[in-house]
Amino acid sequence: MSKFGIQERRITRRRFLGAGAATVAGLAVAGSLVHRPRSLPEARAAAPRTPVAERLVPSICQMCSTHCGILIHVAQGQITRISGNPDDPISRGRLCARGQAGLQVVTDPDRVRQPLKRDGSGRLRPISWDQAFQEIGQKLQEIRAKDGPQALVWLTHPEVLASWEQRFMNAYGSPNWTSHAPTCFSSRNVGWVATVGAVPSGDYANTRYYVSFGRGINDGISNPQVQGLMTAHRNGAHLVALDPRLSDFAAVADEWLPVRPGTDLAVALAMIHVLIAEHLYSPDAVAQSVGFDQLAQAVQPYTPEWAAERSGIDAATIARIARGLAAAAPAAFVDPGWHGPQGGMYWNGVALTRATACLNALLGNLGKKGGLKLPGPSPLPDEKSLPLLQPAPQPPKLPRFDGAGGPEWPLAKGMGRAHVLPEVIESGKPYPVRAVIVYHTNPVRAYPHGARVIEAFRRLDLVVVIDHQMSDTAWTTADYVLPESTYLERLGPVQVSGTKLVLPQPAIRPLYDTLGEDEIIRRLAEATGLGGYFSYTLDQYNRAMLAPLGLQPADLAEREVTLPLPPSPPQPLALKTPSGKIELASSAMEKAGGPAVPVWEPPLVEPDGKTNFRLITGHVPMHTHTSTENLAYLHALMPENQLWIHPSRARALGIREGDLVEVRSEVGRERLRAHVTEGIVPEAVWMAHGFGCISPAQRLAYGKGASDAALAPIRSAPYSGACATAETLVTVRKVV
Amino acid sequence: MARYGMLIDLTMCAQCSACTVACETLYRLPPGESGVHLRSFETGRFPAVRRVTLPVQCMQCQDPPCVKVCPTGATYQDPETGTVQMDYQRCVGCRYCMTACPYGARQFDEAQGTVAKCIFCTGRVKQGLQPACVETCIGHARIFGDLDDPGSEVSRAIAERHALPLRPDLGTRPSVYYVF
Ligand code: SF4
Ligand code: SF4
Ligand code: SF4
Repeated sequence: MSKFGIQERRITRRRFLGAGAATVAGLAVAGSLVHRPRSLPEARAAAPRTPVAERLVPSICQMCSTHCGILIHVAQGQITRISGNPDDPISRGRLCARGQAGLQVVTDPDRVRQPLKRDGSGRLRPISWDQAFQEIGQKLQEIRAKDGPQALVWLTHPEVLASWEQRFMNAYGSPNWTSHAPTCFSSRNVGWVATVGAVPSGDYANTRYYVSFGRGINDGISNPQVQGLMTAHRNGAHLVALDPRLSDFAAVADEWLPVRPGTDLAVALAMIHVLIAEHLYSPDAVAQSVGFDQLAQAVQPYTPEWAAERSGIDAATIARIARGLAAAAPAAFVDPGWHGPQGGMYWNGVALTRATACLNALLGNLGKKGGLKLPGPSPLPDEKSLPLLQPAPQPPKLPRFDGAGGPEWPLAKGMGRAHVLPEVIESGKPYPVRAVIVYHTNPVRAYPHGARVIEAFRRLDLVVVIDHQMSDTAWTTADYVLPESTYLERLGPVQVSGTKLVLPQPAIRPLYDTLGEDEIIRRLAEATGLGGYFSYTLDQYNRAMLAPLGLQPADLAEREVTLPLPPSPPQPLALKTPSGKIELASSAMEKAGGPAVPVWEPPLVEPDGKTNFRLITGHVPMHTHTSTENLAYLHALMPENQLWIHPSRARALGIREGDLVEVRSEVGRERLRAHVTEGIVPEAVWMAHGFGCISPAQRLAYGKGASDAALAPIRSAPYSGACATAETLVTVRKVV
Repeated sequence: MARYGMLIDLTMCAQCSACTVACETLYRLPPGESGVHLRSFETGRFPAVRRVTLPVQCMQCQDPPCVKVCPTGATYQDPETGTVQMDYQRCVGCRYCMTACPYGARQFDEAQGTVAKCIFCTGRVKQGLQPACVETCIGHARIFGDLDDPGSEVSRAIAERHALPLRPDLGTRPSVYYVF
């Protein structure tokens, strides 16, 4: 027992099967009472379940960033299945489609199997790891000597070993480590941090009234949140989807409000207006906040009628939903959002987040059951304090290539503005960038204006892509492709998952000549003359992280380890805002040159309703970004995306269901099939993100559907610097 | 004796397809040949439009037309569980059952030359496990159990939630119920 009184539980066959079943399994081993399957699928299913043949390895799913607890089923050295770990507080034994299809990440016939280098003729050819590290290390040293360390940029997503990547960059001397925040959630984070000092999450399972401003919780799935919200729905919670499209979430919600894209802010402001005008807000929450009077004055003109004119949602509905939220408060919330209108796709994303944050605050739902909760402290030690990691390289004091955290983008801070990289490479301003290391992410289809990304990257002296598949970015721009072992083949850094500690551990040995990212970083550091900063392995790192808790990696290899996590701090005491209170009027926003309280800001572009459309995009439940379309099971579920278009507009353009159409923007054109549906506002067209693969090495995904990223110009929304991809106008025509 | 049955509560179904893939990975089926498929229907005009998505699988009819037409007895009803099963040794791949099934619940398995369908994971159930689709359902929309036992969770939920089978008028007496 450790000093925290950690409870340990073994995942035994007994637990896994349930008490009654253990007897049956036991008898089967003894040879009597064997259930003889009569059908083939039954036989196939029963075979790997004999206790002798099958091993269950607990780990975490890495098919998206939710990190659900999984059990990897291994029989005769092969992964036969991945199921949810019933002991895991995140997955609770259930996995989404992507999580289960994860085994095909290993067996995908198109995996990168060895290190590759582009030769003079433009082909990627196999080389040894030694040669790859030696050449890349030398090149990185040359670049630093000639152009300075800031000439190297590291782009990453997901951020599993982020701290190792940052350490590498610190050691090299470059401030330019950049995650995928600006192409996803930057605006949301800026707005929430300005208001309450952190980004809260919802208590989905216990809520009574839930409103989403453009978040399709069933579309871009976070497993535990869906589990919670669907359970709440059964228990009578009222679900409202404000979305220009009848998303998968809107389809199951009690109400779908087809808002004109880019005008969610008007609806949010009017709801605040109703709460204040009708005294429906929580007086306690107001007492714990600053700027209430200022907010009240600002929203005076924003009546429901005013919002109805802009948003297309009628005034009575807006008022009714505001009252519904108030009546159910504090077990009610507006989803803090993720991507979409609060994430940064629109020009007014920060304003919208600020408005929904204030709306939530007025409901008094912070820290309440069924409301919103702020993240608590991690039980793991701060790695900077670990003796093993000394000496630690200091973060360089140079300005970032994208200006994030500088005078122009003070609120963007470390989230970066990765999408402006092509502009920086082209102009050499603020300074020349010569090399990028791309971990997993796929800028060619993840960042706006893919063609410009390709062109810019081709001008660099060095492009290194670390991935297990041949992404578009790897195929079109990489000088070196370094194949990574998949999450089922490699160790990962120890993590907190809900109230558990988990060890992402390998279930099988790597199938091909691949390495884990930890090993790649270590050897890259060595070859670049920075080996002194990485004189430990990932296993030693995990040991050091666990030691203060009185645990070892072996304790987590077989067992579930529950942590008595401190309950999230009593709220909203001492919030991490300048005033320590809820900032309905934000001093940080004011300092950044913005309005202290949320006010109406129109979206940047307006479709004319006749010749053009606003292009909106989003996620689907069976795919994650651009990383899963080549996996056979998920591909079969959704092989390509379609262009959703309203029948009235389709008719005028002579477009019918299934027709091939061309979508054209100021920066690109793409082709895909049309889906004519009543489930979208007439002024917009929608397509799922993540399709339109241009890497022929991904044989299933190649050429299927269209890339939304190819159509969006590079634009940075105010305050957050997020890329405003939904501020894109397109024309559509039938391809004859 | 039991009569296995299932409830799928569409007010909780997240439309995520986890059930489809759970079936495929468990039985190592070729991609796209799952026993469970999601089918969507759109009704109404903007803005009063609705989309209903149904996870569809073998309804485990008590009066199954597929059994009646099978010339070899490969499709049969298991008296112990009330489920409709396949004996692959006997299936000659004539596909009569596919034509007879009004729910389109059967697929031809090209690799095996036989017809395949959802078998309610009988092997797992007999081991004390849930069917794979039920185990993984992230909406908690699926409940499985014995319809003959009025006290079972599934029987109680069917009664309380006023669940109905699809197309009861066809007279096949399905064992899969839905909450709409
Ligand atoms: S939500 Fe799905 S893909 Fe994401 S971690 Fe959980 S199971 Fe994996
Ligand atoms: S749903 Fe079709 S396959 Fe299943 S029992 Fe009924 S008729 Fe037979
Ligand atoms: S797993 Fe459950 S929630 Fe997901 S589609 Fe199937 S029935 Fe619906």
